[in-house]
Amino acid sequence: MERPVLARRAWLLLFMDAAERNLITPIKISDVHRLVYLANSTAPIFRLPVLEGYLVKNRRGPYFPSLSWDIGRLVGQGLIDPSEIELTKDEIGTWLDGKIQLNTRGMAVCDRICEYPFMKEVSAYLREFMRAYAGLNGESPAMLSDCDIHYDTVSFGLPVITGSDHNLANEAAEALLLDYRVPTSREKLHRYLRYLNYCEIGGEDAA
Amino acid sequence: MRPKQEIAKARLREAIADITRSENPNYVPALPATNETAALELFRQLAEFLTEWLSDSTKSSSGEPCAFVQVRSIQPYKNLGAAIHRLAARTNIEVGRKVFLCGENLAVTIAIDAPTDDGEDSYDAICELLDSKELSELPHAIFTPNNGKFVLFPDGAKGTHIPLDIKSIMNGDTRLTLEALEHEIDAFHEQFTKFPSGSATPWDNVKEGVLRSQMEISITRLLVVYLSYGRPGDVIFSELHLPIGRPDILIQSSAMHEGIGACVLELKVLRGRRYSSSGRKFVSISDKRNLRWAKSGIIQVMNYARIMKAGCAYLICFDARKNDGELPGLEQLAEHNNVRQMNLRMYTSTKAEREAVLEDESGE
Repeated sequence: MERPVLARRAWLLLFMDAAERNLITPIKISDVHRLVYLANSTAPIFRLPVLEGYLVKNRRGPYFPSLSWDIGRLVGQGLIDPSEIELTKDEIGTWLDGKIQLNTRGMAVCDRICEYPFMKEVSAYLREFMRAYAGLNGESPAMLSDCDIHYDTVSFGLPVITGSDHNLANEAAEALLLDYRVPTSREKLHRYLRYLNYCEIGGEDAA
Repeated sequence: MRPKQEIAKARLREAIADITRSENPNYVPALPATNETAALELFRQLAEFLTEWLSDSTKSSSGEPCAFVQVRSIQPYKNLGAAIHRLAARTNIEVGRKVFLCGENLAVTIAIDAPTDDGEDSYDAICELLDSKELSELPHAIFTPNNGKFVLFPDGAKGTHIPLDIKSIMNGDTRLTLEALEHEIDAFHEQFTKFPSGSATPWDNVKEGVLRSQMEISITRLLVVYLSYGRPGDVIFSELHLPIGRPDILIQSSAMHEGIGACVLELKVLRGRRYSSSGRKFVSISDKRNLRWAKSGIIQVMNYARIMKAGCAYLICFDARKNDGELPGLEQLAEHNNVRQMNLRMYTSTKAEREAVLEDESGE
């Protein structure tokens, strides 16, 4: 069971590296969960596997218990720096939030991870994902995940399944392409995130 | 398909109409987000931004130069007292005498003011700031509004520099005819690859006639930036994955004149010599091998064009062979498969070019 855990943490480090390269860090932990959900569910657009294809729809937005655990471990290993950690209370209950950011040691680890060709591909995807996300003009782009085709259609408390056999991201992204365009993976990804932004802030303001 | 996802798909279809109505396709980067291409893509976006910036009549400009640096992280520069800008959304910003720190896009940039010492030239002030903050070794570009010069340093100050002229591409219809496309590729070749002093610095050992390794990839990236520069919209791409492989460059139909359709380009570098496996000797590459390499390009591009339903396909050979003898059968194969072919000779010196031209003329 050790290898999947390592793969998951390597993925998370590359995800944080991509955010760092787009100058959008530190990121709120709750937003990390949402963006990880989205990056995971749109990975098949780049023919990459979905690492976490199952979660229960939570009122606070996508939440992966394993991700929280991994963040804690990476902070403990000195690869990710936490800041502004605070306990917040709302109508649903108590919630631990804060911000995280990859540090220079974490960046060096990312460089080593990218020596593996498959992980280099994953890194290119995550950087493209983050580049698309950073270019959106929504006020709270992390809320985009709520509009995702898999997430939107499920009621709270029920499972959201985005695993490879059930994933519709590529199909949805292709549906958004204009007829006269030759579909490219990167165009599909950018367009799909634009679509989510469109749904989130509503109407033509987003387009 | 599950019924709830049917509902979502219906919603998706509704959104398509809205999104396309206010279509602004200018957001898909031409190059992928990798270490090898990230800087060139940023420069491409900057060129687009600066073109708009120059044509914005509401801007206030001192005409002083500015620099843009691509950083991997903002952390080392946190304490520079910098202002945050969203460059992509603003063209009326004063850019003069500033160093902008950018990531992989222009969504967030950090501006640092260069000190204003009496009598100091503002270009020097910018360079001094780059040096003092250890930014000059990072990929960067310097823009001078007065003359529109935009000089790129993709590998830092000690590496290659690529001068571009922002003003020259500000007006006119940017859609390409096939003749215009060929003209641009020729112009690219003149500036980047024809001679050893070209901006792509193609030769590793000019005396022995050995090109740098990975030249095909390097030329592809530069050509993508060159073609997409000043051409609004996400129209030119590199690294599109198809089940049968990866075409080098795709030009979407919206960048071409009506009726031409999308255009796919395959680039092949024909080498005269290469290093031996030990790296100490030189090995000649036969014409037969180069011919096979070029022919494989025709088969590739023909298949890409068929799958992508492209209107035209090009094989572009960057020819660095020592002799300029014809490659028998290449032209016929291209013609037979409806592939247009360009052969661009690379010379080790201007003298070598003159001699080749004279030889051609005496041959005729």
